[in-house]
This record gives sequence, C-alpha cells and structure tokens, in this order.
Amino acid sequence: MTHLEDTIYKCWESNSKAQSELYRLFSRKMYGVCLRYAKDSADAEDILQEGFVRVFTKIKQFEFKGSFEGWMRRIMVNTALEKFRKHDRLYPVEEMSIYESTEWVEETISSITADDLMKMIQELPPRYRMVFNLYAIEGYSHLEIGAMMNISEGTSKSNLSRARVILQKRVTDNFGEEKRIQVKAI
Amino acid sequence: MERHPIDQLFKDKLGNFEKNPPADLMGQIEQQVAFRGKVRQMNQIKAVIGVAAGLILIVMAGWFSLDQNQFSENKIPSKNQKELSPVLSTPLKEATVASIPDKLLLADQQHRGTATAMNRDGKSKSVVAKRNSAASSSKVKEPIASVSTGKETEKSLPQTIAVTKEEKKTDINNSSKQKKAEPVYFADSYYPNPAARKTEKGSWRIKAEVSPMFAPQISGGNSATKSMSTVSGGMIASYQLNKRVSISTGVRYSQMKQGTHSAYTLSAKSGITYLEPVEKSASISRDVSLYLPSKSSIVYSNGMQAIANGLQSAATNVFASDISQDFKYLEIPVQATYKLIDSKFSVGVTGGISTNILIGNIASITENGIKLSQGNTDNLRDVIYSGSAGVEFGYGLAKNLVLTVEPRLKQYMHSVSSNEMVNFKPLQMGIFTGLTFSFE
Repeated sequence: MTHLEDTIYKCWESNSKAQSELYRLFSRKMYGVCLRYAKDSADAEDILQEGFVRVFTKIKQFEFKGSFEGWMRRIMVNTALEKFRKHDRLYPVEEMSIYESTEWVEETISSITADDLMKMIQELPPRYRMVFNLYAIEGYSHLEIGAMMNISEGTSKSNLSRARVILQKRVTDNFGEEKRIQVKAI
Repeated sequence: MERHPIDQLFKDKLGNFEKNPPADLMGQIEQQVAFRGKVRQMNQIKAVIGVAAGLILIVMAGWFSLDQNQFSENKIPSKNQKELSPVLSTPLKEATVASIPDKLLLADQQHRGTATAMNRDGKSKSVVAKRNSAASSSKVKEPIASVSTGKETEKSLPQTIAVTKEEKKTDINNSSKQKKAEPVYFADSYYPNPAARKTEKGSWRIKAEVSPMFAPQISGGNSATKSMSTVSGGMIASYQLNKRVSISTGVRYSQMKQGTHSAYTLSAKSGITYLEPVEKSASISRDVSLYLPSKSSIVYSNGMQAIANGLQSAATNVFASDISQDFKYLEIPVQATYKLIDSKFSVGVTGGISTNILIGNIASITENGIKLSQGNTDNLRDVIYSGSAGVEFGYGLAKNLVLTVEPRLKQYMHSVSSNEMVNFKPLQMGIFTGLTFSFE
C-alpha cells in the first residue's frame, strides 16, 4: 500500500492527521486550479475550502479507480461550477463566428508569467472564464461543457471565442509584438 | 487538431500552476468538516426518532383497531338476538357446559348482560347496575324471572344473576335446537371500558411525546436578548414499580434558541474576517466566535457597506446587528411518576433529572434576511444536567393506549457555559402531548 492510499484509508476514519497530510500533499495544486476558476484569491480560497470539505466528507466514494488527484481536481471544478451557477447564472452572451487569432514571437511568450495570465483569466466575465478553463485547460468538449453548465453547445463555443478574443487583446496590449491572422471559429 | 495559440499559451503556463494557499485555511476546513459531521449526526438521530415514532404509532393504531374490532365483532349481540337473553339460552353443548366452572359461567353471564345493555342503550354500564335498574323495567323483568325460577337458587348471590345447575341443563336442552354455537367468554378476556383495567405492577409502557418549548427567562444577563420558542420530543420507556409509581427513561431532543441585538466588531486577522461582540464574555450572547470564509463572501447591507469599505484601512469596525444562538441537546431523562388518580382519566405528578448532551451549537448573524456570518457560542459544556417537574393528565383511548398532556418545567442545574463570567441556567416550559402504549 502506498503512502497516499494509506492516507486515504485513514481519512475514511476522519483521522485529522491524515486529513492534514492530504491537504499538505494537494493544497498547492488544487489552489492553482481554484485560482483559475475564481475572480480573485478570496474567491479561490472559498472554493478550495468547500472543495476540501467535500473531499473529506465524500472520500469513501473514491474507489481507487484512476488518479486520486484527478478525482480531487474534478471536485474542485464542480465546486467552482456550483458557485458559478449560484451567483452568476445570468450573463449576456454575444454570438461570434469569427475571431482573431494571434501568433506571438518566442520572446513575448517567455516574458509572460503565470501570475500575469492568472490575472487575465480571473478578469474574464464568469461564464467566459468557466468555458475557457473547461475547454482550453481541462480539455472538456463543448458538448460536455454544455451539459455541465446547462447551456447549449453553440453557446459554449461562442463563449470560448469571446474569451479568446478578450485574452488575446490583453496579452497583446500588455506584451506587444504579434502577427495577426484571421481564422474561422472551430 | 492543432490547438489555438491562446489555448496553448494558457495551458502551458497555467495547466500545472501551483501556489500555497493561506496558512490557516486548513483550520477552517477542519471546523467545517466537524460542523457538517454534527449536522449529519443530528439528521440521522432525527430520522431514527422519526421512524421509531412512526412505527410506534402504527403499532398503537394497529392494536387500537384490533381491540375495537374484537369488541364489535364478539361482544355485542346482533339485533336479531333477544335483548337481555339469559346466558344459558346459548347453544352450548352439554359436555362443554358441564366442564365450565360455575364461576366462569357467572362471569360470562355478566359480560353478556353488559354487552346487551351497551347494544341497546349505547352506553357502557356494569352488569349489576344494569340488572338492578332492569328490575323496575317490564321489558327486562320477564327474561330475568325465567332464569330465577329454578329450585336451587344460590341465595348468597343477587337473585337476578343467580344461576343453578339445573337451570343450566334446562337452558341447554331448550337451546339445543339452535345449530350454531356462540363462543364462550372468560372472565379475563373482556373489558368494555378501555380504561377499566388499572395499571398493573411490572408492566412496561412506551411513550412518544412532543412539545413546543418556551423559555420565560433565557437572556443570561443581557436584557437585549429575547428567547425563541423551540420544539422538544422523544421516546420514553417506563416500568411500573407498583400500582402508583413508575420509573422511566428514554431519549429526547431538546433545543434552546435566543436572539440578541448588540454591537459587533468586524475585524480582519491574517486575511480572515471575523465578527466579534464588542463586550466579549459579558454574557452568553456575547461569548461567541463568528467567522467568515472570506471577506468576499460578505453580503453587506446598506448600513454595513460604509463600514466594510473602511475595513480596507481600519483594523476594526463596529456595527449593530442581530445574533441568533441555537443550542441543541440530546436529553436522557430518568424520572418517576406518582399516580394520584388511576382511572380512565388519570392524573399523576412527574419529576426527575436529565443528562443533556450538546449536539448542536450554531451562532449566526443575519441582516435583512441574509446570513452574514456563522460560528459557535464559545465555552458551552458538552454535558449538563437539568431537573424537571410536571403534572401528567391521561385519558384512556383504548385498552392499551393513553393520550397524555403534561405541562412540565425544566430547569438547568448549572450554567450551560463553562465560562466563569457567564452564569446562564435557563428555565424552560413545555406542554408535552404524547401517546402511551402499554404492554401486557
């Protein structure tokens, strides 16, 4: 039995030391996930706290099929989605079929830090932020995103397009050099 | 499919992004886990009590219904039968009758007389009273006379109900023409009055009870505190020690709730926002710890907004609001009951002590219907003792079922708080309504 499995089994019995150990092992990664879905660090702390409470109370539901980190990550994402559904249900959606894409020179990309990008993503409107995270980083399809967020596949696509445009503009405004090309929306 | 450059950029930079969360977040998570565990436990207890109470009521209803059916099917003669017909006119076989002791036959006759009387008048009366009153009635005189004309009348018994062996035989012969035999009733199997059987030593009873609870004085030293009504209820099992005294124990859920309008401090410590009473520990309504998961989750009312904005620069802010405190206990009582009147309508005095185990402790600030903050009342004892006294009024609904109403006072014997500055011994009053089921 691995150290992680042992810790998980101890968490079944609500062992506080094991819970602290699990928190120590995964809190950094999960906080990173939460920050992407939140509008600021306080919001991310709320999601992380609620997410870990759910992890500890539902840990018996983890059946050791697949990665524990993946299971925990899904809980964090679902917690963020639930929070979004509660507070940001209504948000105007602009339909877009064409967007601008950009290719930056290598120097531009290397000068952008993760914190810079995190700030940009947090400043996106809530629904765009959710869709962009789920599609671009988590790798969900528009069909899956539509089901998760209770929106249509088309709405998910248009939200993603809009999010890309906003992010592209911010990257360009902040980090300069680029060459623009026009492409059809995926 | 080639990834979009924006997607690629963010995936590369943020896909495995890690950052240390605030140091004290784990403490808040532990608090939340513990709190939810208690809530889940409480819900389980409520479910068990609910199911148990439901089952008891179903069993009681079943017994009550069975008892009534037995009464209506077997004890009341049909309209076709002759009113007040003598017992020995029933078609009993000779051999059967010969084997039945006289005493039982006499008892049987008593039962039939009563049953007939009930059928005719719709009232329950004792056989002797009925027969005595029947003496003056021409309608009932005739059949009774026919019974009492035998040669060997037992003079020690009232004439109207005396039965001789010879009469038995005569009646048996007369009734032999009837084909169907009626069942024989024995002395101990029939109680027309549901509450006629007195409480017997050694019997067990189980009771389901519920009551609204009021606290005339719950403030604990703070005049701005108002108590709120709550609900208490549970299941009690009792054992009859003798004709009048019984002891009981069981499990009961009880609750205390109070609201206070007071001044609170909104303060920020290590990035966490707390709401604290200005005069902490002066009374139980101020001995609380309220926390907010994060400053962003505060839903400020108009009155609070200015204060909240000021929080950015100032360390503390003061505002007035309403705090609600809710204490939940699982009560295990040990009490005694002394019956003053033991009849269909019964009266008894009850008294005892209870062990109260703290199972819920919630304090919250609500403004304009929005919960701003939640936490706990500090220093509450996990176990406290209380005394109770009451007067129990009972009414027999059926042979085994009694409806009870009991005004009861409950006084906590020591302060619910371990804080030396807080001396809070609440007094509660309730009117418990219950159903008691007796086992034979």
